[in-house]
Amino acid sequence: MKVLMYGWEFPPKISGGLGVACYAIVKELARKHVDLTLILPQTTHTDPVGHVNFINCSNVTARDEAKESVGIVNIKHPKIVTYLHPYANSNNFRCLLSDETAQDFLILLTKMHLPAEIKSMVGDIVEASAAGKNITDKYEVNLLTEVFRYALHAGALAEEVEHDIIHAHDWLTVLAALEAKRHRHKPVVLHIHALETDRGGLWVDKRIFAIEKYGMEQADQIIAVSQFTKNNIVKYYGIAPEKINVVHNGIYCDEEKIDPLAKKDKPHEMVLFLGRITQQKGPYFFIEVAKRVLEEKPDVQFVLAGNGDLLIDMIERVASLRIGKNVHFTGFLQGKEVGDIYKLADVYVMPSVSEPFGLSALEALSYNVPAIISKQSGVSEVLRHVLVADFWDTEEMAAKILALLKYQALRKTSLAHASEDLQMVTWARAADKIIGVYRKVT
Amino acid sequence: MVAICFYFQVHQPKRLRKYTYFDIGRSHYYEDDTANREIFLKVANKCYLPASCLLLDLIRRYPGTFKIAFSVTGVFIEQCKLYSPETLDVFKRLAATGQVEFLNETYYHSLSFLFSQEEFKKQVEKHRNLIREEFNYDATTFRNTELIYNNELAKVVESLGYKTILAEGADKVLGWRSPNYVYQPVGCSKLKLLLRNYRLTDDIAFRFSEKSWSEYPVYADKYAYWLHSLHGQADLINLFMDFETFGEHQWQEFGIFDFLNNLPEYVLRHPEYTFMTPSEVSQKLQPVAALDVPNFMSWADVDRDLTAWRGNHLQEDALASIYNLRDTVYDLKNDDLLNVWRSLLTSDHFYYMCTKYAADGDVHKYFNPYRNPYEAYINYQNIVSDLAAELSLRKQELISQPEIQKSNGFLTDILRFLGRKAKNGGGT
Repeated sequence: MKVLMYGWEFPPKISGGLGVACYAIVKELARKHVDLTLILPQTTHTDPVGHVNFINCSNVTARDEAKESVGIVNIKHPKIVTYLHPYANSNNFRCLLSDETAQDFLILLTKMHLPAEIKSMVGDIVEASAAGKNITDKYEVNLLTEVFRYALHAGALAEEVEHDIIHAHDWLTVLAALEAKRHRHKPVVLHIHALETDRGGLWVDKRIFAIEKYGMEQADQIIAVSQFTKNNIVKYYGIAPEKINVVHNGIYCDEEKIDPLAKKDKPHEMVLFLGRITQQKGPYFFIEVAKRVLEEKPDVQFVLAGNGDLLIDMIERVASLRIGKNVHFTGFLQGKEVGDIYKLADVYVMPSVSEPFGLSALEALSYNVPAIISKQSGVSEVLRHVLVADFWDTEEMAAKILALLKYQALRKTSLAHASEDLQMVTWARAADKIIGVYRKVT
Repeated sequence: MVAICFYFQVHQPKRLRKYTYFDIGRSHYYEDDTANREIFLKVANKCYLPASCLLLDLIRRYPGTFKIAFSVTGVFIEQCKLYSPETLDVFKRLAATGQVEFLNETYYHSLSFLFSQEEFKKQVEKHRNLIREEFNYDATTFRNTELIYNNELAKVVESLGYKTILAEGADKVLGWRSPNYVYQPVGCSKLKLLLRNYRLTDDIAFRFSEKSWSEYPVYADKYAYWLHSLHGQADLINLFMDFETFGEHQWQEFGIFDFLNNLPEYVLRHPEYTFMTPSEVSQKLQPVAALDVPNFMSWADVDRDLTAWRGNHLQEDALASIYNLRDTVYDLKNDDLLNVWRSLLTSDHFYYMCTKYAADGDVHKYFNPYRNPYEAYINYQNIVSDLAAELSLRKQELISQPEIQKSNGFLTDILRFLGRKAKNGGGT
């Protein structure tokens, strides 16, 4: 079975759970002898892992830099350079790009094979942007330009790479997969890790939504990371549930285990939030919870680990509530730092507004940190032994944090059973299910 | 003769309201009256009323022949009075027929025997009085909460004057022996032990509506045939089950009421078959052997042990917290507080905290008002924390009051002394 996979972020350059998931899926599929060619856009020039080859970003044509990887068998890395970044926002993305003109964008758009209504919808923003109306549109022109550029170049690679199945991740790469299908007519499996309806909240971008919907309609099979996501795909995008397969993410549970009751080397109990500081992840609710807990127990410490477009707003909110003494921001953490912060935590809170999966909850549990997770998350489907609450119910979340800090038997029993749950949630199992989906289309 | 011995457990726990950490010290209101009322009325309409009326009808149709026994908890009767007096009325009419036996158990359906014999005896006494008052019945048969039983319990129950005790006919205790005979508990001289025939009971209580069961559907004639086929290998067949089997666990739509309605007729077609109450069995039949049960057993789950209530740290911790308050509650001698504390002893609170998700997981889920065992534990412990704080506050008041009296006494003593001194001193 030969798979042509279109990915985006990949270790070491990751900014969230998506890179982790993509890496683990590739690794486990390779272990199960799936012949896999991974096509990645690159934004970085260093490669500590040693199996990814980089080329200069001045040349944007696709190249087949196929190379056997060091640590992983069967993975090839033809390189395509774009500025594509899954969590780019208007600020950092504009810095990356030189002046992309509306003309470039329109030329790429004419080359794309897209339904007319999506083309006109997408084309409209160029006019708005040319008129200099607002920054958001300019950012979108830039991002969509990159998506199209990647789609055309990466899709064309299908001619050069032997494959039976095309596997794409989310809307950023689905157009490349559909482009590839035009070349060699192989079935497309679209893996949905997150939807615009998750990310956008009340401000769903209708153009991205249209591309997602089109991509899912065209895909032969869809993989959703949770039943929660599957339901949303059916509900918001009107896709037939019969072609959506739920494959939960996994966790590598070989981290150093910590005694849940061991006294941690710090004076005060600590409650952790780890994730992008964006609307989707609910940092606002975390701060409200902190305020409520501090009214009862004034010495608890709260840490927000992560970066995002709401960071400044959140710092201001903390200051205005006068709880800065207890609430700390670490910025984006990588590698060992992530483990270190988990080891310091007494409770992990994931108040996501809409969380397709929520790998970080599994990570926290693997470090023996009891978790309180949002009911609006996919991970709550695989964890029976954690506490859950509605993301908006800050009273409830605060009460549960206080209960976890107060009752030792609760920590002990829930962690003991959660670790049994974790044994069941493995990437190897996810890979088996993905192979099952491949078999459906071949 | 083979006696069919029916006993129905009638119990409805009181649900606790959602009680968060922030309520501790701010609200002493623990029970969810709305949910309790709703559940009670729902079950009364589906089960208590139609089933008890049907039994009343059967007793009238088979005068002196059809007999049954009930164990009605105090918690149930309290709720009857609040929400459904008509249910209690039907039970009273059943009692008046003379063909119904009422058993004794702990008033609060508690695990008190495992933690405090003193409290156990008080609750049994309270239940004995209640049954006498409500049904004009002096119970001579005892069943412990969830049929929890061992040798030790039998001895205590015998010492309380009971003639008969009920227990589970667990395979691990019986081995090759049959539950269909009367036994004598080891260490007892008068008390007789009746054991549940769980296979025949579960055919009604668990499998009746299960379409995947090879025997589905079971009608009264087929079931009576199973009972009759035990002729020659049984003195009696003990069918002990939840009263909610009729209409609540097994629905009317699946024919459970028709089944019950027709059963006596088919059973009595065999001239050697009859219905008896546990106390009647105890009078007429002699024990065939002594039965040694050193370890606790119960009728719960496949394990037939205590793990449904004492299987994890959550449960042990919660049980320890509540039973630790015993002495303080006793010292305060306040009936309201005693009642609040005892209501929290009901075994169901701990059942909700069970983390066993094996074959019995579904049964636990069915009965559980909480999303998971952890929420049950948090809610319960929050309430216990509040009660503990309140109790210690009251106790401090109690301690400081006599001190005032004492110091008052001391003061008057001094005054008296000084007065005397003044009187005497005036002279010198």
